[in-house]
Amino acid sequence: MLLVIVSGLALGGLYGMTALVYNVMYSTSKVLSFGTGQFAMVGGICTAWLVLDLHWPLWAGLIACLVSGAAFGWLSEVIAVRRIVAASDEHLWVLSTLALSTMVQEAMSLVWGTDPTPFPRVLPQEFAGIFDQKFWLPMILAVLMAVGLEQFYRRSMVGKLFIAMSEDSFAARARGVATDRMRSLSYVLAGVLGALSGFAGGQLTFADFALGTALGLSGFIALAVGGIGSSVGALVGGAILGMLTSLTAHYFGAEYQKTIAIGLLILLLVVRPQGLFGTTQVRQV
Amino acid sequence: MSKMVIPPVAVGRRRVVAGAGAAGLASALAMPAIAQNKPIRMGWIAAVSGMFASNAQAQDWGFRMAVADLNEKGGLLGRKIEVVMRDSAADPSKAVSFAKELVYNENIDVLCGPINSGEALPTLGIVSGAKKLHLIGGSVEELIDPVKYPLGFRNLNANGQWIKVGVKFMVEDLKKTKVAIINDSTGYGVLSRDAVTKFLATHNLKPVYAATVDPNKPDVTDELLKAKAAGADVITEWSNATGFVARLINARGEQNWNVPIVGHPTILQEQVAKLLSKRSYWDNVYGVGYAHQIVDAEGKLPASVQGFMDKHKDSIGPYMAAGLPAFLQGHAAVTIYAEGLTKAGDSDPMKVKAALESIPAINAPYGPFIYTATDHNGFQDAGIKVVNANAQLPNGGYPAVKIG
Repeated sequence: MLLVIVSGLALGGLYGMTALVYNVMYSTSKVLSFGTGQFAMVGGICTAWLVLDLHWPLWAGLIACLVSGAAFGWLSEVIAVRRIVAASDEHLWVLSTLALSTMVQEAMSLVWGTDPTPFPRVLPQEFAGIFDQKFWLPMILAVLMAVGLEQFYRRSMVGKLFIAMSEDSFAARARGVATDRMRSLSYVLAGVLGALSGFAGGQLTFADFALGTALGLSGFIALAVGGIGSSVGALVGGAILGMLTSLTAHYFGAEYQKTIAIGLLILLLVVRPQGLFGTTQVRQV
Repeated sequence: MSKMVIPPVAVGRRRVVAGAGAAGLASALAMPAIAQNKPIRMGWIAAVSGMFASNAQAQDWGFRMAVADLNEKGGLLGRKIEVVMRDSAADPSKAVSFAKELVYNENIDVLCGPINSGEALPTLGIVSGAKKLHLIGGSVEELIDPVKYPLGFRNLNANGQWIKVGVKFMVEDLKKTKVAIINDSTGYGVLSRDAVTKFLATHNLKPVYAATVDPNKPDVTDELLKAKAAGADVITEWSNATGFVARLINARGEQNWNVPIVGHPTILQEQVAKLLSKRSYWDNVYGVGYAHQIVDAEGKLPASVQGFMDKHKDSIGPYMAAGLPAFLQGHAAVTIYAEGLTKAGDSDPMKVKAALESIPAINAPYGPFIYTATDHNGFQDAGIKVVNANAQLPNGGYPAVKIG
């Protein structure tokens, strides 16, 4: 039973990190990018390829993983968000981010194939049951990522500008904030964090071209449960979804895993639409 | 410079009709000669890009090499063979539109493929409606029905044959009676679970544990421990998702539970071995393979298989990783049609059908095929053998499994 819980929490950590990545991009653009899960996929495949196939040292593989995430994040903003958001108030970014996500997934599958590939062990450790790194790496990194982001938002100037833009982008621009540049920066940061989540969860998921779509959906559910904009909410939402998935499979079988887990989450959202840690925005009319 | 002027000639209606009649008669008389020179056109749909690309590329290579070998000998019935190939990219809608294009616009004599069940199913009615011979490369039972699709013939084994041989191996060779079934949650996985249960019942056995698992679930230790708690002495898995299969083997190794795992041919793929934490986890793992992979005491493959590989040794390299069954399956599609066409002496689909149903045995390197008027499955159970995953030899063969 302990293994079921640990495995659920590890999955929750992955979902939570993806929800945090959604938050970073949403803060500056109000866009919930469909490519969010693909950052992890790109980061995971790049690391596995560089370390296992090209025999780079792990630290170099990690740096390359983060750089690939940063580049993909920046390109996402340039290609799928910048002009779309500027040109239209409609939610056309749904299409543009979905299109980019699909293109990247197909490109990765064409170059690296459709079979999952192994991911390197990060630390020299024999399999250690519930203490194995494949379980605790995603958990620890999810918590570190949430704490780090909170500090970033509260203590750094750039973080404060992100918050300002999330509250009122027009007002921020009127006060001289380079909102376009800030938005680009937030996508670069999101790409880095997303790729890091792929690195953290690589031993659980393998390096798999199909990971991004599944992770994007689960991360979005975690975000909705926790409440958009809240780092604590993203973590808690991820943990709840991971545990629900794991416990449902344990008690009822995997046939009902998704239906029961997502059904319970829908129920929660009916009761509390803003999510557990979200706030309702009041608009004066 | 002079210019030749052709005076206008009045052309009446009778003259036109007479001329057309004469031309028609002339072309009809010339038809046998033209038909003799006209190439045999083999339509070929394979998903050489997309999810099943590596296997399909190997099948495509085997198919083309078989055609090249026949053309080298002068073709079939004195006619060269032309391949009209389409890449369905593992997309059933593309497979359907390519099947329509090939049977209606490309004037093919036979359609081979698509080569996986999900793509093949929606093409059956189209090819049957166009009255074209169809060599079907999927293993799902429903693909073959001589009443509904009289021109459809399978050029590999059916899924039930794999499972039947796998269950027989567990019960009769390994002498195991407490079987745990762990399958993925795809339609294929669920159908296979039901088939395993059915074949176990023929041995008066019931599974002690059965779990259907999401193939993307990152950890299957929970399911494995439940199987152990249920007292299982063998696990059988039915999935073609390499990640899922590897996770199952890894979980068994990590729990130090050396119970045998018997399963789908995917379990034999090198791609699975690459995902294992330790290569030794592959030791007590068995997959359903083929008699054409079994080597003799000297490590040699059957002569027909080795002969084909030797002949094409310069180009076989990239396709060895997919395994012998992949390219030999592509080869089998060509061989089966060639034998039927040669016996029929005519490319008329009904005549080729009758010929295929009357040939005592088609001995393709892939294995023996015997078709009858009521059974278009063809592949014989004797062509399937269970092999030990970690015993593959550099030539792609396996030694016969020795128990005990």
